Amino acid sequence: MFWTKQIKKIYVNRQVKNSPLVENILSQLSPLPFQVVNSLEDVQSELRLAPDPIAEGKRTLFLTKEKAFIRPCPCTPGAVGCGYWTLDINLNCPLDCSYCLLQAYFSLQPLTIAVNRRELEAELKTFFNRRNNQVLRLGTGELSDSLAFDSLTGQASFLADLFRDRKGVWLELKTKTASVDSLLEIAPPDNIVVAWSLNSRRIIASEENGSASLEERLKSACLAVEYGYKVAFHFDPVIYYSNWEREYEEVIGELLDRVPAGSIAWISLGTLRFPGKLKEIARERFPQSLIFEEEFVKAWDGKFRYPKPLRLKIYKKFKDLFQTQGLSNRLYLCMESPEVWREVKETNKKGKLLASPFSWLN
Amino acid sequence: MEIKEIDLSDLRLEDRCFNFTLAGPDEKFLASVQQVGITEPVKIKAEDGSFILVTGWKRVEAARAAGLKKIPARILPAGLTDLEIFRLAFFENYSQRDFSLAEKALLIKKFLKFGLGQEELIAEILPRLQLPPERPTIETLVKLVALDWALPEIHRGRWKLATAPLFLSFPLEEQKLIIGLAVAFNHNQQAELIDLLFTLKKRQAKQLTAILSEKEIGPLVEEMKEGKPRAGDRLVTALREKALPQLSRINQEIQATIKQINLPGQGRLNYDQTLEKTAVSIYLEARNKDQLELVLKNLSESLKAGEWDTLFKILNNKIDE
Repeated sequence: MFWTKQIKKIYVNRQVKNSPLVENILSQLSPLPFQVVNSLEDVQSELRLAPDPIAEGKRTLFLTKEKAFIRPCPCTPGAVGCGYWTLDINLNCPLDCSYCLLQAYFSLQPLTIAVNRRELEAELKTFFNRRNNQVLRLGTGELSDSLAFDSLTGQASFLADLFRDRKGVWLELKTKTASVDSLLEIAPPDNIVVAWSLNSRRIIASEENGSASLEERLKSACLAVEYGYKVAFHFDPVIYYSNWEREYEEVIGELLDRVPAGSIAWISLGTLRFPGKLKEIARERFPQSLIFEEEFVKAWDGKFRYPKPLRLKIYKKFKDLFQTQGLSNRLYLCMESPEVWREVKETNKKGKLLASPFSWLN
Repeated sequence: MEIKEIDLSDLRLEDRCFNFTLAGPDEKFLASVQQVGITEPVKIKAEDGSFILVTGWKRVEAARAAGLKKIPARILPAGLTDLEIFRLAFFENYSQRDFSLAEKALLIKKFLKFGLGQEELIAEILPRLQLPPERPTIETLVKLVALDWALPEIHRGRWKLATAPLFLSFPLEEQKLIIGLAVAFNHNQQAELIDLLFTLKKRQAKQLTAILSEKEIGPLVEEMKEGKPRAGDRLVTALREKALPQLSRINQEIQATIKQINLPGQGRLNYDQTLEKTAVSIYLEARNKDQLELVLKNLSESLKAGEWDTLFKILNNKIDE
């Protein structure tokens, strides 16, 4: 896989050096040498010396253990949350999207894989037991790409076994890759949703460095559906540029032509948003990118967003396009204000009631 | 360390190898030195029969301004390396004041010159300067300090680190143009000016001179050159309007509509200029019940005119609709 080939250095936390999973990963990456370290700080002190520590972090693998894995998605203050839970097993992403918040969110973070699966399993079981009979949505794609390292870790099939037959508990594996091979080797659990972030061809080519093409993503989605998985799609971030309407319309047209509407579990929409720090980083790391030079306002949460009238126009356009296939009820907005939700959803609902687009999952 | 009175003329002030102070003495300090002289000895390095000033550049400048011939000085022990001396100068200042970005850049350059390794600089010095402890920070500041002609303005403008890479991305001629303009701005405006120019240049793919000659901008640049009051404010506003055309247009429409609404008395109407919130807030003044009744009646009357509808239509508006 391209993403494993880009790894140049491997560090192993002393606490997990005897883990079978570590041995397995190291043998796959052989003959790359590895170094045993005492903590993340040891790795960070190396990354600091690189000309581009963020890029260096994407070439550096750190195998370690984590204390906790499940967290409520922090969303953003003042936005309508969707009740999502993040399952943070891998931290940082080998892809290099210009707009990726992880560049600002993490400081000096190598590609980090937590290998302490026994603790992960125990935490998940406790979590499920405490929330029996609730509809739960969890995902591994918030702080990394869910499938980029799957060939190395076999994580997807490990998680599939833990989630299988748990009614009402949904695991989302979100990716910009076409790496679905391991998922096609197991019987697909009903509650695993394989999700793709989608964008226009132009944005994929110019901003989503190292990611799979639109064709590859849609082809993998079709394979997953044929094999029996439910799928989801995230148009996030939608980026405004001169030909955005036509080019996103093309993507949605192709998606709806190829992927049966009945297999789509949900579709999220979010327009480009970022803290000021990300703009500083991206302007330096991606000098050719123009997306940060558009018109933004500093919104209620301190993040920069397109002015609300433009965001509304974008969301309504997407809603109209999905409406043709009766899918508009499966749309939700990511990190948007109640005002925008009400306007797009054409409802007077308040607070969390706005973000209940998942009633069909019950 | 030996303390002695030295002649100011024995100081080789042209040798500024240990200097990283860009600010001169302020008026209060000058007045104090005028009254009581220099009370805290400066630190000097003895070399070839004369002295190199290590710390106390403001004190020496104030002493010279006050016409003093001698000042107290501590002579640093022989055998200290230049790096040890510079480290001493740094830590003496570090405990007493904040450094500007331009001074931080000078510090980095000199630490490197005196042989401090990048690794030590990153681990030991950058965190103390409240700068990201990583190599790109050093690279940015080394590039910045090479523009010695710009340092006084960068110091005065209290630039933050984030402004430096934007500024450095312009070619030299444009950097000079920016510094020429920046002189007329306060520090917040300088950062915004550079950010706006960066955005417009990248968006329009034009030379800076072409952007600054555009019909909405050119006359304001001329006004600035002529020193007209508040010309800088007007220039930043015009650049902002160019960088945020949709938002500016909608805000102009809203403000024009608000002007037409006949609010009673000293009434004011506030709205969210980012357009995130649709709601407006109205401020009314009344000193007694009768006045309040009248104000509310007038407000109610004003609702009959169409401007309120127009206002809320714009606030709820969708672009191109």
